[in-house]
Amino acid sequence: MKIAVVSGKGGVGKTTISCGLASMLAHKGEDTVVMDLDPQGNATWGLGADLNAPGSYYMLTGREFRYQHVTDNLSVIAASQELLSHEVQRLNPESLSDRLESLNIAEHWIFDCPPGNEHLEKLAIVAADIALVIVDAHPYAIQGARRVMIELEDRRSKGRLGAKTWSLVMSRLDKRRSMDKALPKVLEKQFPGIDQHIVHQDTPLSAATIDRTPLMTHTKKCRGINDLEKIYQWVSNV
Amino acid sequence: MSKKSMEDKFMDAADSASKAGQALADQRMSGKYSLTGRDGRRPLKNIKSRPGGSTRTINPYHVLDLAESISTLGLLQPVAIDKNNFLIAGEHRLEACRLLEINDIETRKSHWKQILNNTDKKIKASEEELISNRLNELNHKDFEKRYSDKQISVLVLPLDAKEDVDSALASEAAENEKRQNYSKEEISRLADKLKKAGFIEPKGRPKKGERSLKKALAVISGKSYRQIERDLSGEKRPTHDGLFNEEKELLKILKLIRKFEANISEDHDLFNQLRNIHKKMDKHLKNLLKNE
Repeated sequence: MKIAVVSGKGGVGKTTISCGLASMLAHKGEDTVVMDLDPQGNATWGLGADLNAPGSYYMLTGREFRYQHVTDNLSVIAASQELLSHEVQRLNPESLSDRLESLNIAEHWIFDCPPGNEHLEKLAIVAADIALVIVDAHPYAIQGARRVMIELEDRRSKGRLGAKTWSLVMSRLDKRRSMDKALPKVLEKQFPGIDQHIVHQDTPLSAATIDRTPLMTHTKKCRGINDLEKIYQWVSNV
Repeated sequence: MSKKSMEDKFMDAADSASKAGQALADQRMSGKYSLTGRDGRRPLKNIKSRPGGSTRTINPYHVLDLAESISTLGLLQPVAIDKNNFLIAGEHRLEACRLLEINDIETRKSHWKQILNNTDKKIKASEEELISNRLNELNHKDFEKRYSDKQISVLVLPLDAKEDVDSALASEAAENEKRQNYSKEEISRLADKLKKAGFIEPKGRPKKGERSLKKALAVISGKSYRQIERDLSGEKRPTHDGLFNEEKELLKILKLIRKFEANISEDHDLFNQLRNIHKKMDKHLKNLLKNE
């Protein structure tokens, strides 16, 4: 399964959810690769990998690159600032999909997308089977999610290559906050009929990042893991 | 403010934000703002010069350098054109291809002279023979073989250069900037190819008829000659005072230690420990400098 983790807004938890989900898949014994497409390289760093190793940029431009081993069944392809180069920005949107066809070595691919770089996001959306649209309780996130979903819908309705199924993931949800409490209702009104998941505000999720360790290596039991488990079930049923 | 009203406000804001998202998606899908090019091939004769004329003067010597590299390595970086085959970026490359396409040597020479006449450059008498030789030796056959269908590789950008002058200029600048993305490894791979094709690394100035490897690499990659030398030798780039980073850092720390030593002369233990570190670092620094 190829999963694009997207959102139109920064700081909503795309990277945390990408890495958490990847760690869960790997823990279940399924071979998983995280492709870090965010030039900031947070997923690369957070999984304890080397940001200087030849990664996503090299893969996208057809050069030699490295799968960096993180734990059993989990590796990461590093991001770098070169993802912003003109060379990448002018790639055909189907380039990533094409590249994956020739290197289909993993059961699961998770593309951690950057906010605000629609071209890199598009490469991932086109290559993916599933998109997880991450939102937090903020109008900016709704704005971003709307833009992403229109593009997803547009591709699907025209029968083009790309994710055919998607769902909304509410991240860092804390129902003591009034906007967080309203978020499920807001999403139901804005995006009726789209599946919703919740990832609650949970310290172990950030603690794993601080330790630069995959979630399941860091801890075996926490609220965040339960939440991700539900996303995993949803993904498996697609 | 009651909780309820905050939730309602969020509901309303979400409506408005959602519309804004819709507008962004519409803009994006109109294709007007996306400059994702498509790679393709076009007959050389179909590619038209820039609608507004050249943005800079064509340098005939650069054209000749490029022609030599293209005949050996092919067109590494496709020229960028708009959807109506008007050139956006790569005028020198295009001219070089046009030069290579000419089979007859005299026609080729006069074509090159024409490019020269359009500039304020003059050919020196001492150079005349050399240039003439280089034009003679341009490998038309290799070019023919590589481009037997008379088509060259292009990057088609989805815009109309006549209508959308600003985007065309922005794309030209972006395309030119891109040329500096050659990594050290790519440079050395290109160097191998060029060496096989007879390019050499002469001591001093190249003699008549000799083709300089580093100069060709500089032309191809858009890097400076000095940078090419560094890339090939693996040499590090010095900072502005001529020292390498490691030395600089060491010197900084040494200075700090000296300062510290001057202030802690009463604490003999600590002083001795520092003294030892100091000595070791001094030695290391000397070794570093000796090796270069």
